[in-house]
Amino acid sequence: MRRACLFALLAVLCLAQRVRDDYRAAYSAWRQTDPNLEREASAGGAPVAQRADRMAAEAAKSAAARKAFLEGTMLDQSQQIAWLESAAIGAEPAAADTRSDSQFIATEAARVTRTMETFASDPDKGIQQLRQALAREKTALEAVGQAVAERQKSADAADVAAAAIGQGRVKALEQSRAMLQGLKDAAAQTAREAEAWAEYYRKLGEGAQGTATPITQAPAGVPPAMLSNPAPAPPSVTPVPLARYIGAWTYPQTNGMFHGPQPEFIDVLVYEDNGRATGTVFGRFKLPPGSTGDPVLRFDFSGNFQPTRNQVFDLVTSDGTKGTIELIPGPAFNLLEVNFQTEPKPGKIRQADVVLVKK
Amino acid sequence: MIRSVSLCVLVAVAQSASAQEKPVDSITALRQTADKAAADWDALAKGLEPRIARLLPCDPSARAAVEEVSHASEVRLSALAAYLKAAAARAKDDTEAAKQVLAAQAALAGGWNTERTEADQQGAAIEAQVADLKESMRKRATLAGAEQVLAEIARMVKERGSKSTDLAARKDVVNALLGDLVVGYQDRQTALEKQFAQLDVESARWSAYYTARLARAATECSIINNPGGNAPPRKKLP
Repeated sequence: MRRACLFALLAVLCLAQRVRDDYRAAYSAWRQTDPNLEREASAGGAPVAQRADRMAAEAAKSAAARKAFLEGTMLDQSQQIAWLESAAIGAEPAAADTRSDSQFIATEAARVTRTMETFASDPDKGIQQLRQALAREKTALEAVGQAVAERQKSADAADVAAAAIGQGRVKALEQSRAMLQGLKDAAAQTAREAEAWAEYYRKLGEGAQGTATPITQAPAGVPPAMLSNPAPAPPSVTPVPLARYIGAWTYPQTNGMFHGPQPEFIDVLVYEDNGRATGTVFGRFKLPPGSTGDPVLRFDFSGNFQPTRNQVFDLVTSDGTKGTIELIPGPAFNLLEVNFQTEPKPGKIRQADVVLVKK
Repeated sequence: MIRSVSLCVLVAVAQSASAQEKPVDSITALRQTADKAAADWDALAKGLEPRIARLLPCDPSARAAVEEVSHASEVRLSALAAYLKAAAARAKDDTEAAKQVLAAQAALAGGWNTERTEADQQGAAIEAQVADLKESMRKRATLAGAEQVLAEIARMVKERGSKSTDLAARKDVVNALLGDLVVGYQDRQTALEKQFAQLDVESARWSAYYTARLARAATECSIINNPGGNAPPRKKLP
């Protein structure tokens, strides 16, 4: 049940990625409150001390908003770590092991064969009927044996995958915990910086006018500042809304559209920051039978959004191969066509064209 | 601030409801049931031939013994199918969850680049403050204390940027590890789904085998009861 709850939480957290807007707005408000304070501090007197006091209050609000962001992100990260910790694969049941079946089939097949050989040259009609019955039984046993062997291959594949998951989990946990520790450090650093800013404005006020009034600090638990007159979102450089490109996209499990290699799954993440796109593509393709190529493809891409409908960015795969990716808004708002090509490399997927749906 | 709060709540409720329909413990129970049924069949199957060997070919107990093993086989295959079906469903959930962790971690790892950029921008802004304050210090030396603190803040922000750079460098490693993990979960899901599908074929073949085994028992009986106008069997059946 704990795993299921964590899964539900993960689903929510994936959709609810933390955004930095609040603390950025608070930071911006702080910085715009009195940009000339230091330049005009030499004038001294009570007005400078009051201005420093007001800046201290804005700095505290900015720090509180950033702390809230970092704590939220830490919470998300903790949930992901909790899932990784709980996602161990349990042992497969003994019932899935086909050794007992194979042993039984081998024993019975040998017994039937011996009996058939015993009557091999017997002309008796009844015995011949018995031989035919034994032959049918042997054929049925062989058919069962083939089915059992096939299932064992899949059981072996499940075991191999479980082992890989076990090893991968440990390594992923190590990295994820490092990320969490990084967030904790950043939160602690934010608190230290907040104290330092309070000290700075206090000293600035004192330096300007003997003793300054106490610096206001946002007490713990005070919610971050909210803009009462938020600025409208900046205009997008692209002719269609950025939402047509950014976000999490996936290949539908049924009726997926593609040209070139057929995807088994593809997940694409596209982010935007100040007009710049960054993203990742991770997918696996169905290879022709007998192919020994690598079905998995993973690459990052980045570049600036352009004032065109189709966006083309440079990509670099996990093994360093370069290429380009084109993002084409689909006929519906939740569809995105992704077309990419890479330099040819033996055994690697080098191009694909798929239509993805927004998660 | 969380984006799409209402949507998230809906998803959470839906996922929780789904989780309640498939309690985790049921997998353990299904595994135990499958193991027990397999052990039951194994014992009966291994004991069948010695048991029949002591009976006359037309003894109804012989047919009943074969039918009993056949039934035990069906029971154990059904139990295994139930387990595999549930395990494959769980594996699918795991794959989706791993994908979500990958997406979230990729975003988080990418966030360290933003942290570094912001620290650089903040550092530049502080440098400008320091320059302005030093200019003011020419007229008012008492601002020196504030300038020292500001220089310390600049150092702290630079350190923050440096740490962010270190963590941003882990992005590729994290993405690769979690990507491999997704592949692992996907492979396991595929293998379990395949096993489930193959078990269907296997069940039909076990059924055909036991039908053939019963047919052989019937043939042995008919030879005894009606030698077909021919001489009775001259050799004892093994």
